[in-house]
Amino acid sequence: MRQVRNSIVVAIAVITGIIILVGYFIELPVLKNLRIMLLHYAVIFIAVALIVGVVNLVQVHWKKFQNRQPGGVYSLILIISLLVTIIVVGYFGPTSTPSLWIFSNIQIPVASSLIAVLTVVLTYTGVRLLKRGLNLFSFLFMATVLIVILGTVSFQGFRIPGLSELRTWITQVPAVGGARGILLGVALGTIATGMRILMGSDRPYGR
Amino acid sequence: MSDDIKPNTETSPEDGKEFDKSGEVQKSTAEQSFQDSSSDNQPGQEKKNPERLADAIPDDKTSDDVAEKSLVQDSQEDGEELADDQSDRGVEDKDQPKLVKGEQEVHTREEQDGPLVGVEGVLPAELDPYFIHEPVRRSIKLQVTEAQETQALLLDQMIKGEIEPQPEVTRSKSASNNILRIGIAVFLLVSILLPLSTRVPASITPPVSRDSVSANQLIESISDGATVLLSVDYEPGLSAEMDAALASVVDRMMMKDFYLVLVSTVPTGPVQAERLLVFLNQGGGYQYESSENYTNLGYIPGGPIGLLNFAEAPRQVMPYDLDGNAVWYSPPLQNISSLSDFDLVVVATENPDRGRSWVEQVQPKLGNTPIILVVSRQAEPFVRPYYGSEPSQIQGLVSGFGVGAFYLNSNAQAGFSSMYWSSLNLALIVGGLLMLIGAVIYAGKSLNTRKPE
Amino acid sequence: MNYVYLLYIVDSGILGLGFVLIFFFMMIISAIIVRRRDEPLLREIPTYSKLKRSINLSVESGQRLHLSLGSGGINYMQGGSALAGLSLLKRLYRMAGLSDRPPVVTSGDGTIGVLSRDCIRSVYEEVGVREEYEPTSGQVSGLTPGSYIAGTLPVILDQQVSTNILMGHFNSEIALLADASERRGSLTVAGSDNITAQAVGYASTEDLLVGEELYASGAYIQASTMHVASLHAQDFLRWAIVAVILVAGALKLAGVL
Repeated sequence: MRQVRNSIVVAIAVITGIIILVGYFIELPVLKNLRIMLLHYAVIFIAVALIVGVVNLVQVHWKKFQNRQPGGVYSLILIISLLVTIIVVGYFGPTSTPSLWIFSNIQIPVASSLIAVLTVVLTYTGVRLLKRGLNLFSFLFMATVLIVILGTVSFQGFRIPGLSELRTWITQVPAVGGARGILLGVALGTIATGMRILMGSDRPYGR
Repeated sequence: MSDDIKPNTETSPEDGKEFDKSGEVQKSTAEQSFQDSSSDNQPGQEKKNPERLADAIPDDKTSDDVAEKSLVQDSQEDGEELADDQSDRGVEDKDQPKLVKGEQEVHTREEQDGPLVGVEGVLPAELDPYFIHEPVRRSIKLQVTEAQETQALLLDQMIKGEIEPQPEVTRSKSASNNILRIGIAVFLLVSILLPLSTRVPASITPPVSRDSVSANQLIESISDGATVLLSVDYEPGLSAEMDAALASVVDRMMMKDFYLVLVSTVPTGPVQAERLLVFLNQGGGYQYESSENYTNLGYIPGGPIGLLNFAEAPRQVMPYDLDGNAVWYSPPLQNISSLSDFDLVVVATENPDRGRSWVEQVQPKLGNTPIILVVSRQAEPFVRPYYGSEPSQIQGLVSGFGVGAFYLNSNAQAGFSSMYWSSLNLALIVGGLLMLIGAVIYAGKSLNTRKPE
Repeated sequence: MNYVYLLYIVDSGILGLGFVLIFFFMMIISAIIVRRRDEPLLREIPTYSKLKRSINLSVESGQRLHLSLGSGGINYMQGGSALAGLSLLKRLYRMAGLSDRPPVVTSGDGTIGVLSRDCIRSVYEEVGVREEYEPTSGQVSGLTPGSYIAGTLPVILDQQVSTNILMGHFNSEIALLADASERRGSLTVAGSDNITAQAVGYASTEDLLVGEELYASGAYIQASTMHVASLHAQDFLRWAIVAVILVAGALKLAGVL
């Protein structure tokens, strides 16, 4: 029975994937309508998964608070904040003054603080980069970082001659070329992952 | 006893007579009792006992008698076990082969005197004093050679090494790392706050790029009152940079009284867009009202999938605005049935993947409608190829805070934006210097450690 | 050259569909070749060797593993990296699911959270200990990239994690996770499809999977035939793309295109 159920699940996944893939490339009205319908369902599932994610978040943090694990108090604060935000935004609307107040005075400062900490961490990482050892690649990495930074800034209106042009060249030529190469590889990997799922040989959805 | 369990012994004489130096063995009473204690003896079976090994040793070695006798006892025990085994299997004594080397067939004694005359296996009345002796002091020292002892020691060390847990290689958690982190944070904080606190004059102007000038010209070329699709697609954490960059573009559009249709593929995007308009209303003196001057359609779920759906059928995918009004059937959106009916599309994002999704999924559906990307500095290299291609897929590219600050120079925000630029400038210099110092120090250490090699 | 015809091929999607079909057939052919070999022919990626070893060591020492699948959902292109992480998750739970401290999985997307819990549950069912399954083993730490990072940091800092495996879609915030891991003295193995994250990861971790190495996790950890075959197909097509780029560039320089 389980075998039959698994086969049906795999068949649904494969057929759906093929319809959307072929419908994307070939402009046939039947395929297009089918693709749009399936994508609409997918969007609904994704939105529901968002809600499931919120429920899971609450579950995890409630359990953390119940079991008195380290940081359990923060978990309680998270749950209370979640409930308050849902109530305020649900009652007043997402673009109302109270909602904007919560967003401007809580969410943005918290998110910005995280980015500020990230800045310190990235600087710290840059300072200690060569601690692992000096080799060609780490030297090139550090040199590129310094050229880009120093090519961006000016000191009392004074810029190091040529550095700005070098910075522009680095960011627009080798960096972009390298990024494109990596992105091509990533795209091939993504296609391969998708193909394995379409062929039924890779099943990230359980058994 | 079957052949397969016969021990590997030398051939011994059939009757053991070779070892029977004293003729018939006069077993002591102790021996007799020892032998007779076996309860597995079958009646009528002659019990075969192992030969006293002492008989193999010349008689003149009387000083070893004690040890020999204990050896005999041991061998007798072994012999009895084997004999028991044999008797368990019901093997006839006469068929049993020799079990132990030097084994001699010994017969039990029949009682000759007393009331138990004729009875076999009787405990003797008197103990034979010959067998009363001190227990043999055996040497417990293992008789091994020096080579064997060395090998055994090695084996013991090997095994001990396996049992003892290896110390884990722990990574250093030095306090100096925390001090370094705090030091870097202090330096950066001071460099950011210094220009703001001292109100550095706006002598440092942010750079202007050709791309932003062309974006500005594109906006200027569109007639007043046009309908523009504006996507606010950046996370709250980077709103500082993105608000500054986007505010300048939106400010320009508000000056020309464009009708803005707001969407987002980020859940917080709609609120972010509202916040920006409130900020510009307050700072720029505008009075943009929902439904009058702009419409907020809200969040498009599904990422690129949702975006593609929206591009193909915007009215079906987003039929209502955030307030629940059906906006597509009233001016100015009643004439808009697809994205190509908009006069301009502006997308603001800090994420290059989202920017690429707009270009790859939506731009092909735009027809002649131009698209401008407002991106963060980190995303600019990845979307630039779309701007630089022929024909270019995007018609305007505004990147980073600096360009936004340039735009804001045209109004009252000029001084403020220059201070921000000064802070950014100084922080970048300090950060770069710190990394340079760190690189020199660690590179020097690395070279020093290599030198002895 | 008839550019209109060329543009038609590109615009009409035939080129895209043809590419996908070529990929499909290359995978089939590679799978047939791979099946005939005793050992898969793969170059060594030291990060995966280190990863396998660290998984075994963590189980033996009774410490926890942490796998983070990133903030990209399956509806994005970044979903591929998350699916690569899910392949690793199955293997991880088969090896370490019944230890004293089973691995903990975090993600920043609802769909990936659901899939991760499904994977964990299916592994427990396979080995016949369904009752050991805890829904909180697969956690959604946050639903935006920033909140996801903020929610994942306590897992690294508080749950005695010996190895952090970061495989999925991350932005530059991956540096925060790597830094937290370093402060706890844990090993970090990272891989992301995002260019910025890869650059940041190079500076902040010692073991980084660059580019498509992330998608090779199935082949190196599970070594199933189709995973290895898809790697070979990728290699073939990568060379084909390189050839096309070089030829097109040459034609452009010559003024033909």
